[in-house]
Amino acid sequence: MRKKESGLLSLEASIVVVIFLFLMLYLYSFFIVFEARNAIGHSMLAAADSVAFDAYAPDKVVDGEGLSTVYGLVYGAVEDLNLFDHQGFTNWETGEIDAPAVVKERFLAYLSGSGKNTGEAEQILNRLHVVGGVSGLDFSKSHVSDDKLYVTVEYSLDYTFQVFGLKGVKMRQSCCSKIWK
Amino acid sequence: MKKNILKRFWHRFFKGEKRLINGSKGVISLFLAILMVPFASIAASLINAARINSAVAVFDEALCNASNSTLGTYDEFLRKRFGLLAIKEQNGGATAEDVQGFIQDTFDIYMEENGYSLSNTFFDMDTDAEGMFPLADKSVLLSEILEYSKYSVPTKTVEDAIDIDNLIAQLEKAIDNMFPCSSILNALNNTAKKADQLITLGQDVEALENAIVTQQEKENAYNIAYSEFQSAVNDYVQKKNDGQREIEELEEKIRKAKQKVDSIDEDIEDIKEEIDDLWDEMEENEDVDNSDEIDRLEDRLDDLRKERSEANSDLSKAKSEKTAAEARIKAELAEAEAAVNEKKSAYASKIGEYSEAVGDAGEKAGSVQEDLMTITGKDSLIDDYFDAKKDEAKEDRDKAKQAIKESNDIQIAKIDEQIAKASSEKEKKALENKKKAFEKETADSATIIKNIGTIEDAANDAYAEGLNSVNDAVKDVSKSAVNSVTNGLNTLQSDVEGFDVKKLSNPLEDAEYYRPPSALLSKEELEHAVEDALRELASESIWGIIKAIVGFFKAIFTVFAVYDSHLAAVIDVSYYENNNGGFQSKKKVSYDSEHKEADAAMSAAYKELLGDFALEYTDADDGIDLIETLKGIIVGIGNLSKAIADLGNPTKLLEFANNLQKIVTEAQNVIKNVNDVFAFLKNLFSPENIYKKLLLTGYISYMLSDRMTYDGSALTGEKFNLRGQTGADNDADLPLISDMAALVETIKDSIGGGSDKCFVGAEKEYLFFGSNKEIANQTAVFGFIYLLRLVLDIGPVLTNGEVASMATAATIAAPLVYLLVVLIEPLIDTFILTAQGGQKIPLIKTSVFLTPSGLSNLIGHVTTLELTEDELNKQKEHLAGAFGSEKYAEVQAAFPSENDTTEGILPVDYSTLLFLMMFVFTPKNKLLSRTADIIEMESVENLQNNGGGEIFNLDYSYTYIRAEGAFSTNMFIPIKEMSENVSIKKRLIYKGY
Repeated sequence: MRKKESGLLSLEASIVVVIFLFLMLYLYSFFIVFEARNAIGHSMLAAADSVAFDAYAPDKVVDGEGLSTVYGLVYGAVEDLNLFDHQGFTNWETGEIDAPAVVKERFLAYLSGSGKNTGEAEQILNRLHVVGGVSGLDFSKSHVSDDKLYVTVEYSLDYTFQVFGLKGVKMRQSCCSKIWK
Repeated sequence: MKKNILKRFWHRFFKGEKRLINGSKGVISLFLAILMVPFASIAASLINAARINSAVAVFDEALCNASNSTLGTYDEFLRKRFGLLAIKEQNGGATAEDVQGFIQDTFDIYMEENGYSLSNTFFDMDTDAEGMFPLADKSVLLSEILEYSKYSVPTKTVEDAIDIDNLIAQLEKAIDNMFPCSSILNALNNTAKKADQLITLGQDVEALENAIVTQQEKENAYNIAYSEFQSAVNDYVQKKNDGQREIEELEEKIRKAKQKVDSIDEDIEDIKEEIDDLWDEMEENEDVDNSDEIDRLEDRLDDLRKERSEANSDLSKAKSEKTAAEARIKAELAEAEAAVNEKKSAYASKIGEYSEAVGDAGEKAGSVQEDLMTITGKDSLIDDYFDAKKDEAKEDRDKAKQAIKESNDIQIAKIDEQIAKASSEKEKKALENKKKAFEKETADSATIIKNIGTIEDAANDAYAEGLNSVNDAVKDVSKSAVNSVTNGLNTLQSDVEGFDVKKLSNPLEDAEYYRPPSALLSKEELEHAVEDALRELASESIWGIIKAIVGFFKAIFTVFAVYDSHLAAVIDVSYYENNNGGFQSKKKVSYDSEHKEADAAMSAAYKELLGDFALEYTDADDGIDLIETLKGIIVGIGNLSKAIADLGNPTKLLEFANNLQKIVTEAQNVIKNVNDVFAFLKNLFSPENIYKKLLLTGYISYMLSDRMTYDGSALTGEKFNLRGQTGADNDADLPLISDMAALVETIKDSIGGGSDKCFVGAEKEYLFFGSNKEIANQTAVFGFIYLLRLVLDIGPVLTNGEVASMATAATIAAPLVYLLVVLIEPLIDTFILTAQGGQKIPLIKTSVFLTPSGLSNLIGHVTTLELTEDELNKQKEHLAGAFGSEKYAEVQAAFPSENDTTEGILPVDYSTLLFLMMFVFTPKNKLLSRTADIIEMESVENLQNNGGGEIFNLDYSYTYIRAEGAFSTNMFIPIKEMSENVSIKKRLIYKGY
């Protein structure tokens, strides 16, 4: 090798390897994006199904069938269920018009598999690089129309490696379930 | 092609002016490029794979979500009214295609909503959704019912304080306890035997009566023959004596004529001598002129000669007369002798006939005596025979009692062992209850045997007492007395036959050839004796109780109703046949899926799921025609009542015996039907698979209405009655309830006619009988409850002291008292249970309504029943008065009622009893298929009422979605040659309620 070319390989390697490395890491970020989108999509469908089914539960457990006593003995007070009542689009427990909150709560429960403990959901969302974690999930566009529950979530995902200052992507996922009434 | 690529690659890298590898320049880049491309490719492939896998997962999730959403479009009426879930038949359910089309459309809406918004991976999706497993499939219906019932039914039964375990245990015991029925049958058979013997006695008494009549006729003929014989003999004697006298007179006449001739001859000779003397004198003495004298004497002589000639003539005449008289008398005597002989033969013959008649009457009297001995076990010679029989019967009863006790003791010992090993208090308690049941059965059987024994003794005593007059009457007609008479007559006959009238010169003496008639037994005496016996056997003191019970039976039919006439819908069968292919319960297979086998083969996981659904519909064989049996019992009671009424005031023993036999035959027919019911219920009693059956019957009990609850609400809170409380008035063609038999006959022909789509309220009743006529179903259930109560009441009736008192008072009719109370008591129970405002009746009763004191308990029920207290009091007085207060007090003291203050244990109302009957006696398949009918009927009615179309078919009420789908996706990094979409085929899910 000639003298004027000495170090050329190192220089070239330092440039090209880094570029390739960033490329690989960028590709890896896609895994995380897909995983996040997949996980959120699953939880959202499950939450939508679950909330849509809530309309059936108050009818069955609370109204007229004498099951509340049995339910109370076996599982605890019916009031603790925090069921979603389609009738007034209200929270069954509080009576407030707060569908997105109910849907979000159910979503987080399915996401983490731990009921009302949002800590685990927070960890999962952070691992998935959801911007803002739990608070970064926006369910405000969820609504009920024609006995259908539309669950919509908007969120942003950061790339795992912010290569070249790339900003994350904004995501919007929605699904629809028939309310069981 | 491949060669060209390699050539170009080589040229590009190592040859030409623009080759990439030129010494060491760019070698790193080139190296990395060469090295990293595979890495990057692999990474991209992995990402693509993850993307596609994610898409598959999301697609599955979307299928599930769309399925759930489609399932969420469920039939609200089914949900609210029956707590069942099935996909709504949006298009009216006219055809399967309509409903499947609706399912597909609904599914597609959600699939499109979710599929494309959740992932951009999908290029296009193709999904196929199909409804599966309709509610018409009994297994599906059962699983939904069980799902609904697993909490609600146990809760409700606890709320309603229904002790189902105890109810079943008590019912099981009652069903198993067949002993009492055989006891009645035995007692009745004894009465049947007595009736047969009474018929023989009646026939023999009639034969004796005829024999006595014949004997009297023969006796009269005997007397007449003797009179004639005596007359003939006396005539002969008279004639003989007269003839002798006449001959003697003629002989005297001859003698006198001869004497006159001789006298004249002497006079002639004297005159001749005197003339000769005159002539001599004149010759001697010329002077003497005796010429005048001689002339005078000659004249005199001439006169004498004339006289002599006349006298001679008289003599000859007398002689002739005598000869004639002798000939005549001889002829007359011969004739008289012939008459005597004729009369003698006739008399002898009559003596023989009379003797024979006396012998025949004696023989007949002997038969009567034997019959009496057979019936009463008693005759004048063997007074202690009957007591011996009593002892034998007592011994038999003691043996039976001991056998039952020993059998139960063995069971009790086994239970004691189980109690010692019992692992929980609950198990221990259950075993102790079982032990108590056996102990009670021992006690009950002892009471029953004692009661039966007592009434059998009383019956035998009554027969003996009743027939005593006949016994007294015929006992004088003993064999020796009869033999004495017949022997005397036979001797007389011999004497008469040896009688020779020629030897008789005097009239016949009575003592010689006559025997005065014997006074063994006259017709009048026998008739009086029979009348006395009938007065005893058919007396009011015996039959009054029976007649009072029968009167009560007739009376209750006039105040109670078998069915609620408000509930009189008649289902339009043709509607269901035309639109739904008939009732669900009539279909052999309601549903099958073309995918079943293919899907099962595709996935073992589905196999279990699919295999769980049995699609075969087989109706359980009921064993007997329950309605026919019920009719047999009801008609039997009617015939029995009529036979008892026909008993009247018999004048002939045979008439009474025939009536008694008729009564017993009718009673035996009823018992046979009751036995059939026992056997039927015993066979049907199937408490296996208790939990599932309990949930099913509990669901039906609380979810469907019956004639007592139709204005209430279902377990879901929905009102039962969809149409208001007035059903179509279609009962005009039904017979009156007083003619139960005709009613039962009519309801048998239950299909046809009608315009109603569902019943007004008697839905549970339909489950039992399955008629499209609501009244028919009510009547059938009435009958079924009656039959069940019959089984339940038989033990309490037979162990009840007061019933035993009544039976004992009825003596020979005691088994009939038991039978009638056994038959009518459950009828009262059933009326109380089914009457408007019906009340509870204990499952196991300890008191019996159909007794004077029991009617007091019944009065407690009348405030809510359609029966006035006055009417009931009248019946009570009638019943108590039927066997007289004195006798009642006497037997009441002998059989003190132990439980007269309580009515029994485990009181149940109509609905609870139906619950129990469905649980224990009704096959699961029948319950399910007919419940499906009811669901279909109510749904059709609901649709019609709410303008939602007419057609609802449970065959299309799908409970599962079979969703099959495929989607296409592109490559993450499109490669020209490899840019074709990647297809993921055949994602299949089943989702159901």
